[in-house]
Amino acid sequence: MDKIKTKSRAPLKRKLVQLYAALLYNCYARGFIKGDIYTGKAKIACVPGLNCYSCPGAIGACPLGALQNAIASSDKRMPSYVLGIILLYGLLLGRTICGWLCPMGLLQELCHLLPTPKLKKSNVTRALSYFKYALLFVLVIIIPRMYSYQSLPLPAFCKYICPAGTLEGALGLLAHPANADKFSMLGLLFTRKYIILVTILASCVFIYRAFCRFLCPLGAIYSLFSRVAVIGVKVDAPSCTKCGRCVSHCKMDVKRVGDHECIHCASCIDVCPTGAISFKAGSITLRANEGVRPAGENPPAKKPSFRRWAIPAAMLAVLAGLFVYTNFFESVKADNSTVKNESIVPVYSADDTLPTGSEVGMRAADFSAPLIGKNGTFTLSDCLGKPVVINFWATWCTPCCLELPYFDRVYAENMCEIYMVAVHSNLVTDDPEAYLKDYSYSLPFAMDETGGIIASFNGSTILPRTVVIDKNGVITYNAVGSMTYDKLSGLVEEARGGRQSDTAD
Amino acid sequence: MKKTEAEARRRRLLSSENYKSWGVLISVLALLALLIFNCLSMYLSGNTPPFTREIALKKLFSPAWILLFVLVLLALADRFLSRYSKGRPQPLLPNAAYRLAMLRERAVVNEAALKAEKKARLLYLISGLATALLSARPLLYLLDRSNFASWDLENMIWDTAKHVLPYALAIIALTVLTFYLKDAIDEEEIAALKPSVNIKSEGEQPRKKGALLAVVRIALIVLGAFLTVHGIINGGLRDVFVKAIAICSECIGLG
Repeated sequence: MDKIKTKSRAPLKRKLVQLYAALLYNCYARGFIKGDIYTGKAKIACVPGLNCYSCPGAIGACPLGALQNAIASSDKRMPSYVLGIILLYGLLLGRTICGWLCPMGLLQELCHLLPTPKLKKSNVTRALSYFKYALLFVLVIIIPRMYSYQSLPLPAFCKYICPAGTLEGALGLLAHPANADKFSMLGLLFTRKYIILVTILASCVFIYRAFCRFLCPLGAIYSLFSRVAVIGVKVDAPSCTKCGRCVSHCKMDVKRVGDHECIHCASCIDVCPTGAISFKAGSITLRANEGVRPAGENPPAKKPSFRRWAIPAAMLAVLAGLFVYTNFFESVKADNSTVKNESIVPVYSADDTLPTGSEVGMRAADFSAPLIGKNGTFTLSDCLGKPVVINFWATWCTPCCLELPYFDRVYAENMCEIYMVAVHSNLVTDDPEAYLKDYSYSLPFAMDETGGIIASFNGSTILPRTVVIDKNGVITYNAVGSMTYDKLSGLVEEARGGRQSDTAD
Repeated sequence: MKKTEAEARRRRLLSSENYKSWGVLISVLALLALLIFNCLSMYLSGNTPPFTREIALKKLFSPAWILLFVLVLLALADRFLSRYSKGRPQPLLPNAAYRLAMLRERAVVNEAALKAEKKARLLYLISGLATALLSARPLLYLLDRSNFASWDLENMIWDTAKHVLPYALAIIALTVLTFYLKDAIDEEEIAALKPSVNIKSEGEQPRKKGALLAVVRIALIVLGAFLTVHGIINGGLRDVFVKAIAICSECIGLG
């Protein structure tokens, strides 16, 4: 029986689905326009693929980042939400997510399209594919878990390796002129991550999906569901002649179709001579090799145009709906609900001609914040006559927790000459009072209950932020970034001397 | 026979496919060396903050220009070599394990094949033991909480890499060696089975889909739903939300 093979447009369709997924995860266009990130309700949901939630356009949380942060908080609560979500994604889709719904996968495949000689798979690449499990174990599970005992949140893979964070988050934010001040935060960490990003992208030109195959812990997690995932490429055993063409054709390090390395791209469907491979959702066949049919048999009838366009239309409707909701509906709500403090009371300053604001040289706006662990409030106007150092921090912010000892030390050394307060963000995950009980800090801590205090210093959700105000109530330093003991001491000395710092917003 | 083998070997060496493989290897190594050199010089020539936008753009995009230049060269080289390759490139043959699995179903097992099978089992045993031995020390390091007590995270990561990475690379090398040796043993078994191929006329019996898979799936769905709801109740949802709406400066390399 002769068989006729027809050319498939499946690879193009898969690219379109990948592109659709990338647009769906990053449809907050206002983020790219304003240079800030989306802070709406949609971020309670984790997207299935690897997509950094610090990307200006991201509307959902990254499952890998969320998992690391959940493990980092595992001393306080079980990370059940993220585990449940990942379990459901893995069970439903498994590594189909890698092949169809991951923006990083799309980027790697586009890099691979560049016309250069390519490195073919071999026993070496097959062995290297197990390295991602080691990365998962060490950087995603062990290190965050170990540091959770010290209440120090450390998403080690995100911090040291993740190329999605560097590309979408850092470069996405830094590309906007409004974030020009963030360049002062670049250092060794960014250089290392940038080198890793460039190396990965360069490798992807020669090696198909180099990051996906060798380094991605999310792929490692989803690969654990290869035997139970509902949707994916399946082989019909009675029709399979074990010719091995599917395995030979596949660019991933599979030993058989559908194993833990298979990303269910379905390109093997078209090379199977007997049509034994199909893309299925449970028992429903989504795609089979329709080209493999006996000679003389008529081709299958074309579906009516309504059915052909129903799914793409529904997909576009979802994308359009999310786009409108995140960019217009939620943004309008946010604008309407922001409390506009038109009567900002300035801290008294000897120089009444100075404007009130958040920039260096301006008078600081007065505020009151309730103290944590003590009765009373911290009021800025009560501190006139001495320099004031304000540190904005949060328990979920690793660099914030790392620099608190420096602030405490500077405060202890200059207690009689300065005022200092560490103001916790209004975004609370763990009780700051309970967190501080494990440490014997002497400096006062306060709570920014509404987020208005950091907003009055032009701050946002990016932490840590340090503000230094001189004895006259004039801002001498206001910037985002980690502090060292030497730098903080220098700023305090400058504020005591009445001079302005060069490094500021 | 030897003359044709030698001729075939000579043709293989001179074929453009062979040049391409060497070309890939040399260009990848050269590109990596260039990138490393460029990044190191960027680091050594002044990586201390504060960067300005102009300095950062100049320093960070310089490796990108080198990369682009090398990629264009490689694309041109690929086009040039492709013109001289005869015929279409041969698809990869199925690997030895696949061919062996196919042969085992059609051939009667003989003594030589059994011997090869025993060799494979011994290989797996030795490889497994060696992997377990190599994993012991890094595992002990990772499970010792005192190694993660320091808040100097850079030193912690460096120490972890020093204690774990060599063993991980050794395990990878061992795995590669195991795969190569297994291929050789499989070829031995294939050679042993080929003379005793007995083509079966009846078709393969279709495998019944186990009810076990359905039970496992249902159990995992229930577990996933339970964990999700539990996470919403115990505050895990709020954790995810708070982290997602705050820019994680370290996660994106700012800090």
